[in-house]
Amino acid sequence: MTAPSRAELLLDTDRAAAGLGMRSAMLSPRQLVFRHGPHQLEILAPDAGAERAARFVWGQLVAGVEAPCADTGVAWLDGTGVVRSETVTDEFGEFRLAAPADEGGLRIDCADGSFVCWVPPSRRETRCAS
Amino acid sequence: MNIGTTPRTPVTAAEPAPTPLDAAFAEPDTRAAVALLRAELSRSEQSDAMAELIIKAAVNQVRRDPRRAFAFARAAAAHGNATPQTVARALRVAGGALVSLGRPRLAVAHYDRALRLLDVTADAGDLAAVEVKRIHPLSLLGRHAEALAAASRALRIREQLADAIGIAEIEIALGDQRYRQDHYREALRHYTRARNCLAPDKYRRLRAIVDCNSANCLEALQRYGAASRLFERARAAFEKDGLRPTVAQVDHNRAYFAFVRGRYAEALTLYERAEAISTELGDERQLAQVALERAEVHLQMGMPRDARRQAEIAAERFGRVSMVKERAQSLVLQALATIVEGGTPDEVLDEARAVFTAEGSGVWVAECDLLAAAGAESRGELLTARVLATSAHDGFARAGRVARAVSADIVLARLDRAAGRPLDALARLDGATDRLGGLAGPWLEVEILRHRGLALLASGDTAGGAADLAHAMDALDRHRGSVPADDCMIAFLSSRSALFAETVDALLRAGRPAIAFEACERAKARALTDLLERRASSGQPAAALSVVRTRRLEDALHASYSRLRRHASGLDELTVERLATVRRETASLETELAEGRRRDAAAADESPDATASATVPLTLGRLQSRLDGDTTLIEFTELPDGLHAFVVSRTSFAHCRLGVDAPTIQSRAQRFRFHLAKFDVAAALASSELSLRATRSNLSELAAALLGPVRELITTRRLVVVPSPALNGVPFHAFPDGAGWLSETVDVAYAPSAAVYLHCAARDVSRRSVREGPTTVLAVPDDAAPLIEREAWVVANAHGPTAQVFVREQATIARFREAARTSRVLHIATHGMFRPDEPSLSCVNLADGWLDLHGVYETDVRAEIVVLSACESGVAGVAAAGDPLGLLRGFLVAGAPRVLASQWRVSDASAALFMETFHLQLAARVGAETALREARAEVRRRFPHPYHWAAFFLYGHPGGAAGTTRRAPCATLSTPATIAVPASSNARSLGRVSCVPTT
Repeated sequence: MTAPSRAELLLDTDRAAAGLGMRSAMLSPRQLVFRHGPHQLEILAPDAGAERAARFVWGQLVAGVEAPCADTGVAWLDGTGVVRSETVTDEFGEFRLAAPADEGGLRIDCADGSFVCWVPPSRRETRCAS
Repeated sequence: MNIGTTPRTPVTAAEPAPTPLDAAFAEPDTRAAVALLRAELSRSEQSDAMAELIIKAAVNQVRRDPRRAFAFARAAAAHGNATPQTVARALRVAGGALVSLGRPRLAVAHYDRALRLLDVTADAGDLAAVEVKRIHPLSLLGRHAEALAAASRALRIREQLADAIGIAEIEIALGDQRYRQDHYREALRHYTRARNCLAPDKYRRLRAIVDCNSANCLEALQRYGAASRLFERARAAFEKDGLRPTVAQVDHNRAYFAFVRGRYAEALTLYERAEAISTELGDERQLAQVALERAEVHLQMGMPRDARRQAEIAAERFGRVSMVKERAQSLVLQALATIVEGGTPDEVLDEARAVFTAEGSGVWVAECDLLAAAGAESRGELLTARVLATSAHDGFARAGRVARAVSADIVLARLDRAAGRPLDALARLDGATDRLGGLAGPWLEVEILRHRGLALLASGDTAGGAADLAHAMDALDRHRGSVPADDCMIAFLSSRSALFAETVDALLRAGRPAIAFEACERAKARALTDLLERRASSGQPAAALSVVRTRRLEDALHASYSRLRRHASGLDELTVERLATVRRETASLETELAEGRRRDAAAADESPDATASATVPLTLGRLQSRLDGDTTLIEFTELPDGLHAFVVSRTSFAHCRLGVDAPTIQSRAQRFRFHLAKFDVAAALASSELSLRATRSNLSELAAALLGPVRELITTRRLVVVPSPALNGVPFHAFPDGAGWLSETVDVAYAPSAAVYLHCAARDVSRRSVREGPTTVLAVPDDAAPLIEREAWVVANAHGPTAQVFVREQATIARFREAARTSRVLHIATHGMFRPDEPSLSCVNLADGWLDLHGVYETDVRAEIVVLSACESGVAGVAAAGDPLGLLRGFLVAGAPRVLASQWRVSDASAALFMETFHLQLAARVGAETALREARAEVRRRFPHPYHWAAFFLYGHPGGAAGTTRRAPCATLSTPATIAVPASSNARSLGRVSCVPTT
């Protein structure tokens, strides 16, 4: 069995300015956008300062702006690739997943194969502020 | 902390004759004075006599300025021509100064050297004097056997010499030693023997020391009346002699005494003074002790983070001065703070317990047991918890610490209840009450009543349980009068939020929903209500909360904010390493500033009792009589069985258990935040039909859970939502309602509590608000949010020629203050941010600085409406007791009857469109609610997602705030529909546009 391929990281707000057009003085919560073939995954990472039990990833998987990927398996892998939690996307392609490990990634199990979105370690301090 | 003995110089001694050293003694600069002394010593033929004079001068300085005393004594000791006896005496005085400076180890080294010199001369009197002096620092270092041996040697000599005063000194030192080992009754016996050695009309200082140290023992034994009298007498004696440092030491002791009686504000004020004097004197030991005791006060007030920091400071300082036991005490408090914060302390408890055991401190071993019992209980190890709590109880009882023993009883009662034996719990608590015999500290009274109530509930006596819990709330209300306002009060009430929930729950179970509502309201945003009451009675800005020593920190923090803002906006990119550094510095500055402000505010709040007693809890009848016929108020609360709602109108009252728990709602609210967050990075996806459907589906589920069961009760045009902490920021006005949205049919406003809502409504009636003033717009646009400028001019034009506009460098904090006082409508368009770690530092950016909660507190806001057109301007950190902390709080306290502010990060384009429409309507005198409805509808037409049209929430009293002149919107302006929507710079990263109108 071949290892799942790796999605391309398009944006990590930890490593990019949030952009113009906002009236906020600070960066938003950490968000990442991945692309793999036609799929695009957008996730809201857990607050680095959150307690382990309260660490959740929110995400949405689409195959186009109006094309949600429903009923798709999503798993949180820890840094060694072990599955720590699993769920499936809802009708909007959205999911909520416990992310107990500090480092890891998401494995997406689509009908046409799996891919992995590795989340780089946060560069933020444990205090979530900016 | 006990006070060491002074040198045996009667205070009535005659004035000394003039000497050649007088010039040196008069020199205020210690270094220069010592140089003069050395010069004089080297010139004089009577150098030994001169050294004696210097020693005498040092003795007189020990309690006034120990650093100077030490320098003088060292100068005398270093003189080559002095006799060994004189050098020994000088070393003894230097040792005394070192003890005062918190350097016991160094002091012992000086005394040991003196003893070696005296062994040669064999002067019994001097030997005894040095031995007496060694007792105290040896005790501080935990070398109790050596301390007792020194005491025995000294006592033997002084008994041979029939030296009654000397014996008194030894008794005092022995009393101090027993006190340190928690043997309070034995210590008192030593002090009594010392007092008996002293003639009633002589040795005032020694008698004062005996008084002060006896008072500490009496306080530990809860004999508060006697302790109070002795503290006062000791303080008066030291003050009469002008001994400022010693007066400070007594005040320090009085601070703890105030704390144990629940007088937090008084305690914090006294600690502040003690710290100032100790800093001035460089007294490390006293500074460490202040930090340790402050940690305890903060813990009791429900501020574990501040407590942990203070305990860390104390541990570090005690470590520096080698005070092992006190360092261990600091570790215990650190561990306790960590547990309260929800963490697991490391293995410091074992280390601390070993120290206390070696020191023979039974009380602190018991403290460790009690702490470990709480830990075991939280892990569900009930048997272990019981063994530990019993051991703690016995340890406290043996030492005569009745109140602490009762604390252990409360833990045991809790364990009885958990084991299904509520009657045992009741018997234990009743026994504890009897043992206290009216000596209950205020928090013990609350806790005993609370656990009695819970035990009664568990035994099936619902009415009795509810009654006891309600009494516990009454006791808490009496008790909280001594807590400083605002931050401390918020923390204090939040740490007691379990009691509020238990009481409301019990009252509902007892079939008393109206009383339950009143209890619920009593617990909600009470600290804010206190401030509003204070403001209403004084009519002045909250000056007591002003910052007195934090300007430097503010400047540094604001510079950091500006760097981060420029980076966040993409205007000035920092390297990853630099960004991490700036963030770290920012976090550290925020912590320091917030803590400093809390301390300033607490110390400045000298008469908190008056505030609390002035706050009369709101009754259901009073609320109903003040609601108009158009308004329904819905107040949510979180109880053990989930969320409940109280629905109140002028003529009806209903209670409803919603059947959903807080975590479920929080999860849905998080999902909504996820939908909003997409607009920052994936705008096309966020603005898609898919995203709108997902958001609407999520909001529908929230609506079904929160309003579904009570929707038919809402028949009025206006709904005021009083959320529970879990519902903070949930947009009720954006709930789907039929085919549309709730805000299309019902005007929704928000308030932290019903009492706060009535306060805001009263401001309209009292005519305090400015009715005829201009509209003032303050705007700080930049490249990241350029539409702010346009918005400013459109808003001003809408309100006619009297409107004032201050843009960019004109939009200063001073202008804000002036405009807040004189304007009818105040509109601020700029960047804003919410600081989740320190919500009180959340702020908006003005031309010359960042305006935060404290800046707003100091302002007199008379505007009818304040509009904060910025990101997250209405976001608040909501404490467990429902008190919001953020900019919104500041404006409500400062006098605004209503505030329009955002709950999330807003887009420049849709915010501008929203605000321009809102003000065009407001200027047409349609009222704030109608203007809001129109603005939302206008934005929704172009940007259907709630992210754009639902960001701004109306807080306070929604009625009123109409324009002064009925006029059509200014015809010369472009209508909002023509506003160009700029492409977001997000295009740089994703090739997308952030705001995509669908029409």
